[in-house]
Order: sequence, then C-alpha cells, then structure tokens
Amino acid sequence: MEKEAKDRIVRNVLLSIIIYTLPILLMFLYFYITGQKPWIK
Amino acid sequence: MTNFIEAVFTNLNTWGLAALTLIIGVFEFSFGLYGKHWNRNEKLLDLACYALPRLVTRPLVAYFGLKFLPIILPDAKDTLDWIPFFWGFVIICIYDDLTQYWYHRLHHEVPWLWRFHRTHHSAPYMGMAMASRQNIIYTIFFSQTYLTTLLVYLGLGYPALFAKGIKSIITKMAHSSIKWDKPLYEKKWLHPLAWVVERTISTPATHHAHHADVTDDGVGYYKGNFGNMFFFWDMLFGTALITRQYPKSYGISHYEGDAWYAQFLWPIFKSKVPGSELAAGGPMVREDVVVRSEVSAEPAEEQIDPAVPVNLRITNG
Repeated sequence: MEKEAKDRIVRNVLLSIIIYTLPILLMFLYFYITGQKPWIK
Repeated sequence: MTNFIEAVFTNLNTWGLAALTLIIGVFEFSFGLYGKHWNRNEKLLDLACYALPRLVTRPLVAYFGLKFLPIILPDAKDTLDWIPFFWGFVIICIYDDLTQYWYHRLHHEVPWLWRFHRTHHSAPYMGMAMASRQNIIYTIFFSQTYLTTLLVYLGLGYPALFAKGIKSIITKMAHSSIKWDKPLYEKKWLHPLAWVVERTISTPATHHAHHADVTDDGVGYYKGNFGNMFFFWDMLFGTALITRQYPKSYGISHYEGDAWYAQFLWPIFKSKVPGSELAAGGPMVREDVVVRSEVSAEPAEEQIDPAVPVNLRITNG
C-alpha cells in the first residue's frame, strides 16, 4: 500500500471521528438552546 | 398517515425489500438490461449470494442483538430510548452509512482485503441480480450491521426502521440498471436538483462508475465513489468522481468467470482459473487488462466535475 494512500486514510479517519461525534454534539447543543432535558423521564 | 408510513417501513424491512428487488429485477431482465452476460455461473453466484446469507448472517445478527449484547451489556438495553426520533434518525444514518463507507473503501484500498470484495465487482452487469452479490466473509463481517444492531439494542430501533429502509432503497436503486437519474441530467431545468442529488446520495451514474471495468478513463472510477446511501462522504474525503455519464462496460477487466462457489466462499474454495486473484497462489491484486473503454454513445451534458480534482484519486487497487 502506497504511503500517500495510507496517509490519506489516516487523515480521513481522523475527520470521520469528528463526524461521528457531530450529531451527538449538535443534539446536546439543541437541547441546551431549547432547554429540553428528554433524558429526565 | 404516520401509521401508514410506519407500516410501509415495517413491511419494507421484512418482505417489502425482497419483493421490490424481485419486481425491479424482473423488469430489468425483461428489458434485457443484463445484456448477454448473465450466464449460468453468474446466475448461480447471484442466487447463492442473495439466498444463503439469509440463512447464515441473519441468524448471526439476530444472535448478536438478542443474546450476545444482553450478556455483555445487560444494563444498557434501551438506555438511549429518550433520544428524539429526528436525532436518532440522524445518528443511525451517519453511523451506519459512514461505517459502511469505510468498510467498503478499505476493501478497495487495502490490498489483502480486496479479494473479499472482488465478488461484488466481478459482475459484468448492473442490476438487482448483483446488488447483494458478495463473498460470504464480506457479508458476515459487514461492520455497520453490528453497529446499527447495537444502536437498536440501546433504544434507537424505531428511527433505525426508517433509516435502514431509506438506505436500502437508495443502495438498491444505485445498483439498478434502470438509470432513473438520467432525466435529471437531460433536462436543463432539473440541473440544480441533479447537482444536489448527485452530491447527496448514490445514483446510478456515480455508482455505476464505481463498477466500471476500467478506471480513470473519464467515466469509470472503481478507485472511488465508495458511498452507499450517501455520496457526500466521497465529496468530503476526495474520493468522488461525478461525470453524469455511464460506463460502457462493467466488472473486472481480467475476469474469466471464476466458479460461483469459489467467488462466494473464497478462501475456503479457490478458483481454478489460472492467474485469478482467487486461485491458489494467485496475485492479491491483479493489474488491469488495459483496454480503453469508450464512453457511452449517449451525449454527455456535463463533463467531469471540476470540484473533484483528478489528483485526489487513489492509485492502488
């Protein structure tokens, strides 16, 4: 496997980790802004 | 209305998708969209890949979700069921499809993984017949299936029902030999919609390019366009090629019809085709047979998207 391809995979994986966290962060930001606490039943 | 939509997706996830696949498949076959490539070996392989995983992987995934997870995470069941539908839907869509993007991409970019995915690419045609065509090992280790099953166990079952249903339709239709996206490129007033659609989800144009038997010819691009439900992963990671054209031929340039059982069950069974990637002692990745493919005779209204630089293309098979 070429080094260039390997480096690109590593870079893209790091970006993917951010993308995985993004919906969670946005969801809690939305709860914070709207004052919702749906986890409290 | 909600009940109706819910019923549609519930049925889609049980018998609906199989019925839809059959109907579209019959339509494709009736109109000769498989060409003359669908011989006995290909039929047996497609049929085995469609039917047998249902007897192996589905029970395995059911065991994972219903028996294994309750043992290792006994207190975690439904702990995330408070997440509102919208956010659950977004989470499932991203987690499932981004994971599949990586599973798919790595099978193309890591040479020793390629042979587990080769079966999907050896089909010299597109359509419902080959949409599920995979080596059994590739199917068993479908990483996103287990991740989504975990999320369902944690309480996101309801949004998963819809996310998986929509994803299944998009991926099936991207593999279809019915070029449903063509009107979007032909009618100028639809171009703004085409611009959005082709960057958001997998379409026949972009996914057929991924299944072309040549790459870097201006249309075929098996070194990229890895997205399944969403195409924007390819846009984001620089693995996209948008041409609004369809390859003239599909498959693997050096494919010589390895026996169906070798393609389905490699490495348990090996191919008897000398020099095949699936033969005993065969190369891990075989170089392309260089035959310049002509682009479709159909006029292209738009050439390669300049937003996707050629130098971002991957260079190993």
